Amino acid sequence: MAPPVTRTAAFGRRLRPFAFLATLVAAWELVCRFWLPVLDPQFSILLPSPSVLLLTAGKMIATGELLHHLADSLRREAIAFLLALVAVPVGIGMGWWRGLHEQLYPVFEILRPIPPLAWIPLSILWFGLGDVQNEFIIFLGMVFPILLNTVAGVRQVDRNLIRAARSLGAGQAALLRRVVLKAALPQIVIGLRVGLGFGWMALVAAELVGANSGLGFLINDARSLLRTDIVIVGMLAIGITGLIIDLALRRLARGLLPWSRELRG
Amino acid sequence: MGHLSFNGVSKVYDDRGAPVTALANVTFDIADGEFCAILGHSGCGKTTLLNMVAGFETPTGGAISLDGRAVAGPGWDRTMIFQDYALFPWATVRENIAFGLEMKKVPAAERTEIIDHHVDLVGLSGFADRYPDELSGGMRQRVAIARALAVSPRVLLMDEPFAALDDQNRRSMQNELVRIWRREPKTVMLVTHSIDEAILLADYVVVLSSRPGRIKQVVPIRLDRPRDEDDPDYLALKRQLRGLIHDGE
Repeated sequence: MAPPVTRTAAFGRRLRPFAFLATLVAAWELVCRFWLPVLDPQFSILLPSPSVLLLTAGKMIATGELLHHLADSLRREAIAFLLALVAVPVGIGMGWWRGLHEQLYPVFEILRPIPPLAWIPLSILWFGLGDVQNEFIIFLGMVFPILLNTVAGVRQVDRNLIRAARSLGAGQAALLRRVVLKAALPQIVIGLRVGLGFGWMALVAAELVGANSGLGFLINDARSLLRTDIVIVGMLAIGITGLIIDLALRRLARGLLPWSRELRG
Repeated sequence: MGHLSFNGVSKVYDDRGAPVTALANVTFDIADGEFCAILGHSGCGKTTLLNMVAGFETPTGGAISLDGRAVAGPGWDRTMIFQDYALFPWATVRENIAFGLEMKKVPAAERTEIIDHHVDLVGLSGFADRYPDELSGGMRQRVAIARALAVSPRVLLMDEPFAALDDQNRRSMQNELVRIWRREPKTVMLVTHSIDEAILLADYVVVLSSRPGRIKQVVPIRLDRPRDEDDPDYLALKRQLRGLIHDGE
């Protein structure tokens, strides 16, 4: 029968990109099992094997520990993201009105090169440890990529689209809402994606030092207990979640803006 | 109604402190329902003239008026058709045409009727729900024409509308435009650098000189439409316009 064969072949082709990864994981397992114990039993603690990680992850999922920390991190990311969305109207204003750009640009140019992490000491003094401080740091990581991409998106709007709309009777408000915003949207979405990514990185850093929960807290806490398995499971959870957020936003954007060339492919 | 008057219109640009005269003392009229082509080399200020009628730019001297009223800012009584179509890529054909009607606050039922009529007029029945991206260049320009006509402008402005098309498509779109214009007569101001396009389409051709743009001559085209390029009168006009354009270059 032909169909099963093709299906198997197709399945094989989809797996092919993971061949090297699988080899690496297998090698890691072998090293942990047979080589590290011979070298020095201490090493086994420093680098747990994939099978141990899998067991740990299973346990952490079963007890709800992983989900608890993940939920706290995601909640902080989400709240900061909602606040950072203010960069979209501000960016549209800056892209559209020269005077506003002239006044706001120097402010942002001074603040922008300060890494969000550099705000951690001050933010702890301002907000104490916990959610607000974390959200503040994440917000700082998100707001500039969103702002800069929005400004760029507005400035790139085809002049003739604006002229066409004006000649069809669009006033300032209709122009901004129905033409400028829509034309800039693909670039704004790119800003949102970059912002979410930066925010996720800032989140982990903020939680390392300024939180009592969350994935960043989890891996730092596990370090002090020498639980390298938990540290690595936490790291993987951070990576996989970041990837899922990005993929979800990409898919959402493609669904909502099917006409956009920038977001295709 | 749709009578355009140009009265001593000039445009002087400031090019880093140095004044550059793009248009000097342009005076002529386009009567209601006439098809006027502005012919000239690139840089003769013909697009500037069109942009001033549209309200995108303002004259530095003289005045442009439509039906006796001075032109100030863009408005749906003067809609523009661009070389690059300038369709909203996020909107379907129907939504593109609807835009101006919504700005004009035309009631929804009437809007649908007007859209259907114009989709039909430009020969795009069956494509109303497609996105510009899914259409060929010629079809996109048909959408732009429908969008511009749907708001019932008094003047239709066209800026090298078919320059981005290949020869065959350009010719068929020129014929289409003549067909549409004869079905729904309208004052048209068309800017072009193509002598053939001017003769094929216009009632008369305003030839502009270059830097500064001045009216060199106004040439009436008294040939029956559709026009035949092998007609001796056509060829004579072509020779005359070519002479005017290349004169003094």
